[in-house]
Amino acid sequence: MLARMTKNRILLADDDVELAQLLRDFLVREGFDVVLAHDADAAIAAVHGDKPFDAMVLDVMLPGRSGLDVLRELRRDSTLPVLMLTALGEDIDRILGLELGADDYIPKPCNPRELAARLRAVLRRAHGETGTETMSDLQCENVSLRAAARSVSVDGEPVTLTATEFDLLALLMREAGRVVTKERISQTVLGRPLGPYDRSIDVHVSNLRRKLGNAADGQSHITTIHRSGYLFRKLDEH
Amino acid sequence: MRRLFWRIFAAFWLAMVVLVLAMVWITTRNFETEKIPGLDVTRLQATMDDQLARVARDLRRNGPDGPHRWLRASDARGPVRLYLLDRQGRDLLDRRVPSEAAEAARTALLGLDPADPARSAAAEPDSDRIRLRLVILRDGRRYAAVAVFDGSSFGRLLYHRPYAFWSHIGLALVVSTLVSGLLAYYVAHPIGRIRGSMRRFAEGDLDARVGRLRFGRSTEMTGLAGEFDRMAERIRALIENNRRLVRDVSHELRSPLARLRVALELAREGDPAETRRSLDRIEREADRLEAMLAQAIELSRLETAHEPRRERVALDELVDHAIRNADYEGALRERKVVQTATAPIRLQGAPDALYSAVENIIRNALAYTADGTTVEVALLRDPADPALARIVVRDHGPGVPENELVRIFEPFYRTDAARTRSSGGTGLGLAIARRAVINHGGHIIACNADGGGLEVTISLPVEPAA
Repeated sequence: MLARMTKNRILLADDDVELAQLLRDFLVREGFDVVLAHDADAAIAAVHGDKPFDAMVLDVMLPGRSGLDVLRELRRDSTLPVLMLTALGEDIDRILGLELGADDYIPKPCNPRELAARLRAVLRRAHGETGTETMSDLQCENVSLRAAARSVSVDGEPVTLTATEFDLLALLMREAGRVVTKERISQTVLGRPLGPYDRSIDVHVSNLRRKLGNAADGQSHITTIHRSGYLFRKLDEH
Repeated sequence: MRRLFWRIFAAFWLAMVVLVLAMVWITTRNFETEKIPGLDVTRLQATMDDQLARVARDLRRNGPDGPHRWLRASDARGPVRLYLLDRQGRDLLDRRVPSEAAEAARTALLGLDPADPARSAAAEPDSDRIRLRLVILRDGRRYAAVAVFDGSSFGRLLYHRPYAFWSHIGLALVVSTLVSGLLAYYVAHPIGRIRGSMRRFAEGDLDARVGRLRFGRSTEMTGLAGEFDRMAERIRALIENNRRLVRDVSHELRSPLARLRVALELAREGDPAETRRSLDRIEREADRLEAMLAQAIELSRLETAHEPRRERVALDELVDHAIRNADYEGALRERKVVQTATAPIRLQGAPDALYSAVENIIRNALAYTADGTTVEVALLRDPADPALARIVVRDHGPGVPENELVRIFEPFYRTDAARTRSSGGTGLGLAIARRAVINHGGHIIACNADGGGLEVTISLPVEPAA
């Protein structure tokens, strides 16, 4: 970690003041620089403040406007990595959050060490440290991916992807024409093993499909291989 | 349902058939044994004599060939058979004659005194079952007309009935079948409906109700269906309340648990001062969890309580006690609780539940009133209704938005103001208070007082002033 000069700046949005303070104490000790926000408006104001953040930890249960509203507003113009805190058992919140572009989630109450680990994984993705193999520029059909700039364009039009979506696309395009299992996607992209009933990957893929649009033959670039994984189609091979 | 229908149907139908048979048997029996008033013969014997007289007349008028029709007809129907025997004991139609009848005829014919023809008019009535009449034609030929009654009672029931009899029986069977079916359906249909609803309810469909019965709306069935529906409604409300409470409690337990886990992590690797601070925090969160569970259990108990334990409670002493306890705690934060009015009021109720209600309202006020201010508590009789007491608790805090005044009594409902502050409440106090008051037949309302602050009013039915 010596390579990084500055500490990662984290925005922690949680309405439970006491919990937020405790988490800040913990995350500071783990080497993060933490700013607190206790409601939706404060969180959005902080994101649009002078000093940029590296990531955001967002509780979906914020008073007034919910965390999902914050996420929706944020995603209009920002790819700031977001780690959601969701109530245990509230699957709807989780799926909705991922659909709105959250990078990952962690159920609450959580083990704080797990929170720190997930946060680091999200940050690594954002900094493009996931692919240890030297990532090269990729081109498949009308989708082109430039590794250095971490940008993607379809038919020359730039597409805004979150860090997670970018890594997911890069992995699928590198393996274009071959099935990539969900386990591998989870390990490579999210940095954790695939949990049972974990639908995160599916939601990320569905977001990606929406953003990329359809291939020349009118079907999605990414095909679901039932019970197995996903496949980025190479049209000329079919 | 099917089986019940058939059982009831069979029972009704059998009863009807047995009834019909019994009626037939009784009328037959009467016909055979009942004496005609004033005469010493039964209706049966009279009928037999009448038939013999007609045969005799026919014989005298038309000769031996005359009564053939009578004799044949008596063979075909009716339990009474007619025989006409000549002096040799031969039947006119050459039928086999029962020995009793033959014997009676022979005795009569041989014993006939030709010198006394008057005896030929009416022969001796000999027995219940055999009637005999001697006939002497003008040419002097003698005959004995004998009527024999078929002896088997079962046979009499079934045989030799006229066509009309069977058609009546058939009609009776058809009608009794229809009536039995209708009656069985009238009983079995509503029972089937109620049973079906109960089974669905037992299988977990808490919305299963009997509703309005379309058929078989007897008072008892309608009452049974109504009772079931009321029971189902109450059970559903209880289950849903408890389910919601469990969900809310488990939801609410997360916040202290989340804090506890972080504090634990901080205690693990901090310096001694920080560890001590974290341990204090862990203790505080553990206390909070405990309080929340205790209150959740109390609320659950109040909600399922059928009939609270009743005893005479001195409301003024109870309120006074709650005020003194709360005032003692408020002193730490420069907050006071004072009594602005009191009255000697008694009521029948559960003292612990009532105390819990008053205490929770006062504590809530104490938590939100501003530092340095006073919570005012008044106990008074309703000026309009002496059988109603009011406990008014007023604080000097931020108050509650008008549209949330009702909802603050729901379990775990928090206003935004309550959410962001760390007041340490469990979110159940007001719900417990409301439930306890409702269990005592009263009600509780909140409003924003003039000049700021929340005013909560408990109304309770009490004993009228002495």
